[in-house]
Amino acid sequence: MKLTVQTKLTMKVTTLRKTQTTTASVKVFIREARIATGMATFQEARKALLTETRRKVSAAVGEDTLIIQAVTTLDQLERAANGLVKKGREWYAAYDPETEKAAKEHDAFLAASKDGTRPKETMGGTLTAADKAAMDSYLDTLRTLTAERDALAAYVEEKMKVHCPNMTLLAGSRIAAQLLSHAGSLQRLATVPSSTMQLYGAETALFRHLKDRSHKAPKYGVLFNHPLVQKVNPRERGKAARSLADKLSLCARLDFFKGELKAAEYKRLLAEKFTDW
Amino acid sequence: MSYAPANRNSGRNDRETRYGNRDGPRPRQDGGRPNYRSQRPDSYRRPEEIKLSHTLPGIRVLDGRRPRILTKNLVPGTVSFEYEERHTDEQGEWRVLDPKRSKLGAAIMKGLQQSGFRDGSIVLYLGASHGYTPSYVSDIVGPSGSVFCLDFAPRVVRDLVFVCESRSNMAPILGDAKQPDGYADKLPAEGVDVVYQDIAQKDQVGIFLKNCDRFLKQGGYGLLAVKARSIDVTKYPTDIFKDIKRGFETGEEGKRYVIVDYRELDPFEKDHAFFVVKKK
Repeated sequence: MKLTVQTKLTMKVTTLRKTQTTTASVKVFIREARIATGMATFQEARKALLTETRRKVSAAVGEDTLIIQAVTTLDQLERAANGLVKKGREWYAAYDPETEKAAKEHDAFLAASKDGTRPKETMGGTLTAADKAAMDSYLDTLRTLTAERDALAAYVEEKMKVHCPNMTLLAGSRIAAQLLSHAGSLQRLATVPSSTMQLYGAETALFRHLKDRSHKAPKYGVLFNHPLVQKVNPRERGKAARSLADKLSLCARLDFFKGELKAAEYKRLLAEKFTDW
Repeated sequence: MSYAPANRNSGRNDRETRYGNRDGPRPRQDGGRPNYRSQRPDSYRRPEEIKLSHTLPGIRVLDGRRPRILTKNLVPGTVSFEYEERHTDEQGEWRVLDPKRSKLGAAIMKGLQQSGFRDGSIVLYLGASHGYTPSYVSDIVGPSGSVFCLDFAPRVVRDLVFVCESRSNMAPILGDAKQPDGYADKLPAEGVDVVYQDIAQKDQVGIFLKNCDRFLKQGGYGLLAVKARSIDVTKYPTDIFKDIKRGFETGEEGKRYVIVDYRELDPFEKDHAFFVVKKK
């Protein structure tokens, strides 16, 4: 058979194409195989990582987490209860304004309104049994809520006395726990400078000041509620907060490294410095 | 990519002009920057000059005055986040990437031309948080890719684990991006194709370089979301971005990396920028 140049050329091209397709398909095969083995090893690694991470997340829940959850819930509960009791007082005053007026504190009001007796010459309106029942049911809920709040506060106190004895002695369980919640952990609280501790709770004011110096620097955050800062001469408040933060950061370190109980001594030093307290 | 010469801001370090406590209030940070912030984010309309890329692998962009970014759902029918929006057409199920929740989404909305992701990429994601953006990265790289998601806060990793469990190409790591030794043994020995970093740390860039140097393959991409406010609240964000750019162009790290894309994320994220670099 006599082949023309043309046919020879075509044959050559076809064989070439064929080999090319073969190499290409081998390449694809190799790539797929590599991906498959890669995925198999990845799936193994993934499984191990999931287990490990789950274990680590579980181990991360410690005393710090529990106290922080409790104290932040307590803060929120207190704020909510306050508003709800306010509304309850308003409602009860329609029935018995005299008792409502006489009770100054919210808790005293909740106790006084419990039996539902009112003076004979009352300014309050006439309520049907159903009206009274609706109101009483709401007030009862408030009593439960405030009881829950007190229980939570007691729980925080108890926890803090064990976890941070020094800080609790100097600042009270509430403020100490709030500082803890700002820091995120006792370890962090023990490592931050006292100036940071002084300003926990004043972050908004601090960054406003740093961004734009036309705002004054804050002097205290959470520590504002401490009796020392509250009682000293207002001109000395910044100084008091600074000294208090200094001693509190020492306390945090003692608490974290499980040192001795030195807070009483610090308290005495502060009392000597600020005679108003 | 151009920026002003180094001496442009030389006067700014004077206390009076910097903080404006003698000459009245400090001038507006970016001078004539349009005030996007006053607009409600819902009503954001893409400015005409921003051209969106339609060639990013694994990402479908629906153009228009209010563009949308879609990825093919890796696990159709599974709701990874209760607020996510999903659409189904003949090609399958798509998920909408919200630019207000994701810096990757914001960068795409600002016209990102190169994402570095490919089908089958191995990704190291630093600062994975609850896993919103990582879940879209997992969509993008597809079933043959893999995403290693790292975060150091146990609280957010708790959420992340649930996302990783439902997506076969994601793996969670509880670790600190500052200390690569802690997780180096968990990553593939040959390195990764993409490092994505979105963490609010002072030394963001240093951490990024440390991780890229160690784990990124040659020719791989590094994606960095910069939060200027974490680096220094007192500096102008644009100055911080310029410093970083300068580092990649003329600094030590410029020998190893080259910037292939850069976007500022306003108005989706205030004072944030997005860098895409390629390892030489």
